[in-house]
Amino acid sequence: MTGFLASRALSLAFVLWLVTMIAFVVIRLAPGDPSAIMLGSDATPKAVAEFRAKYGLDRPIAVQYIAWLGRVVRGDLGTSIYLGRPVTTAILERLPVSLTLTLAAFVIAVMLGVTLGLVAAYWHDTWVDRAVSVVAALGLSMPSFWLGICLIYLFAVRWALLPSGGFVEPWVDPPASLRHLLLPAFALGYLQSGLIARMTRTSMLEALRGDFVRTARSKGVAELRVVVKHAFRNALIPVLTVTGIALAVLFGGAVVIETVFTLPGVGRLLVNAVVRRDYAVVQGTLLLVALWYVLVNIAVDILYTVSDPRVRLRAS
Amino acid sequence: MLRRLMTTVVLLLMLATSGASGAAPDRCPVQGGTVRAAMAGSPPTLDFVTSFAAQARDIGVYIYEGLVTIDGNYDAAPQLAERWTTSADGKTYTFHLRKGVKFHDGSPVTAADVVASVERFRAQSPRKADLSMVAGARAVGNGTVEITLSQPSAAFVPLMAYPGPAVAIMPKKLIEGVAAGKLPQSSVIGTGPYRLAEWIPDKHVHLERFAQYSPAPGDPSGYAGRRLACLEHIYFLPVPEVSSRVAGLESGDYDYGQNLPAETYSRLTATKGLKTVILKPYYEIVMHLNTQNGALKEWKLRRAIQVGLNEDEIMLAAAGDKTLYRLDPSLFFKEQYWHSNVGANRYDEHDVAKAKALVKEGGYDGSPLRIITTSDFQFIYNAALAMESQLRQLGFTTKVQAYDYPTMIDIFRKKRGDWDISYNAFSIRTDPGGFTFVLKSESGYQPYASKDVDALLEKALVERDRKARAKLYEQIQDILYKDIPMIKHGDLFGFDALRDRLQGFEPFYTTPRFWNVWSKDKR
Repeated sequence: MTGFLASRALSLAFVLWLVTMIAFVVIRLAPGDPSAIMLGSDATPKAVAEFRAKYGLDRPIAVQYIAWLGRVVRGDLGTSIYLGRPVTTAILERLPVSLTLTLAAFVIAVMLGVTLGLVAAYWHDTWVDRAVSVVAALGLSMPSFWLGICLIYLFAVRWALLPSGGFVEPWVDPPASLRHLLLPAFALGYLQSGLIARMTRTSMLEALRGDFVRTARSKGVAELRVVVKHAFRNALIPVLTVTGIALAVLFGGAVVIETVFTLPGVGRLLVNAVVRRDYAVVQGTLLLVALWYVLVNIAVDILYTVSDPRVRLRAS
Repeated sequence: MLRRLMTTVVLLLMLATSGASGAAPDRCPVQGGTVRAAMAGSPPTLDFVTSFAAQARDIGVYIYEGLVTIDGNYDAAPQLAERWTTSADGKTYTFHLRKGVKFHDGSPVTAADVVASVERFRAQSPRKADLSMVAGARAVGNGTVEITLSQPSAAFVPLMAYPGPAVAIMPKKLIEGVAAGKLPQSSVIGTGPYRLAEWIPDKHVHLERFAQYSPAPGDPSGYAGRRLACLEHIYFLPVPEVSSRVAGLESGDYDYGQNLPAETYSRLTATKGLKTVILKPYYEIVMHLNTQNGALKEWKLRRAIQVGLNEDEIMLAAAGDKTLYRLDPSLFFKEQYWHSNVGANRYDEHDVAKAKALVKEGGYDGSPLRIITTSDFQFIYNAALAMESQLRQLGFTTKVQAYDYPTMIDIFRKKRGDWDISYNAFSIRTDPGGFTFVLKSESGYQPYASKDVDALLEKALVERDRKARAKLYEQIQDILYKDIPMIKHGDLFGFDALRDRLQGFEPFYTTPRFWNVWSKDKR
């Protein structure tokens, strides 16, 4: 385990370094400059030059990168040009929103996906199975922003059942928070539930055909116990992989949903930063998203050992 | 341009007697209630003086006040200053402060606070260059401030009145030694009708009524005159996604929605419980023609475009609804003193035959005209597409490239050889001097240089006689219609919507004004 963690820490560092490079270069390759946003199109060349010098944008890109990387290593993600505050502060202010949304969407995705997958596998090749396939395919193919807009139209505008957007902290007013979270979490989670349902179905079908299931049934074990305890436990590893990926993807996917539902999260911070060419914020948030992906993947690897004792983690 | 170009005018000061909403009550018909306003964006900082952002200005006008501000005709009008005088040489302005005005922390406003605020603005505001003519400011006693200029300037008071960012008066003790953008939330203390209760970035700005507010005398007009805080709470909620603003209005989550899309105008107007308001004017849509590079160096080709365009068609495409625009030839809005019809005979001529003949005469070689526009502003994008289709009818070939706004500006400014036509929108309201940068050769803003225009602009900056100054800008407009470095399509209006329980709301500028607005049912 120690070897495994050390190896993963190394690859984590490598991936993050790669992300810093890509994030740094790509945002600068886009035409446009923070000065166009901050000073306006009619800013004098002198004002633009002063602005660029103040934020170090006039230095060669490699010099800027090394200076920024040096600060990142010390835990300083820099200062937002537009917000005038440390990027870390800006991210931390918005992180609870994104985490709450991601976790709520994750719960919906897993509950819906696993349930649908189990149902489809158990009643495979029936109308139930086909109906689940349609629901899963819809989830896989529908853009989240479109689903979000449809949900707002139906549940907020047409039926006035739920708010159209906004965020209430769960620790401030739990019922209100739940009402505000339902639509965005569903819009985000539904997409991933399709993937989880399909994987659960395939994996469960295989498990249900296994000898150990036949043995359990012949021993007279209750059907529910056979499905959940025997078959599902054995079908878990591929499902766990997919749910792990889902958890990682959901955090990134929150970018669009946060904009549609007016949630003040990290995703919206990133979108605004790209539009404003707020380099430090773009780099900082991308680094955070990358860190999230890598950490979730490591956590999933560790969970393999819990779900299947035969799996042993090695450094390789 | 779309931001700083909310710049500036006026030479002589018209005291705040003109403009809109003279019928506003002198006390609140109903006291209490809350408004939840869905805004297009979020302020980057609450240190308003240090930000150009429109969102900062929109909220700053509730919290802060200046010595002067703008009235309903975009002219300078008194606010914290009761009156002011100018020395014979035009270099010294003496402002006399209104008595009894208090900051939100209860302390009285003194001349020392004004001096400290002006000095901080001159040192730290991104608009500090606007006050470069100021030599110094000093307190004369407790209630008088003297500001001296290095040279007389027609634009000084209008620029002091310009709201974005305003020369906001703040307590000296809270701003001394504070770096730009670093004003803590607890120090956001002004003299306005509302004070800051809470700011959660990207979530909301919550303002609450300032009970000890001392309104300026006179009827409300623009940002000037009597401002009554009838509503108890105002929440400014950033909702950048326009469909979310519309949905939130329809569902009842928001009481007000800013900057809504034209295609929803009829629907929202017909929605029970909502009323729509038209913001007139909003922007003038302008296309720049590259007079120094490419095919349009040839005057006859520029003239062909000018003579051939059907501006009504272009503006309808841009605005999306007949009620949301007007055709007008002037550099300035009809609501401004500076408006002029000079050159109007060359506006919206729509003479296709003449245009085609000019295309031939101009020796057009068939190479495509490169049009750059932005998809960030739908009205600009739509105007460009409509214009492009008309160019093809005139015999031009075209190529349209749409970018996000910063990229378009980057290409417009730095890659002069890469485009023939570029787009923008102006909203120059306070002083006509705002056009100096756009038009002056040495600024290099657009690929156009005219010694005549330069000379007129310089004269206009110091001319203190209002009528004579207006004549100078008329001459500039005339030259522009003849040289054709830019073509104005028309004036676009904005449109907002609010719940009909909110009474007394009148649109002005781009800031929703909730002072003098009350809630019928006190909610």
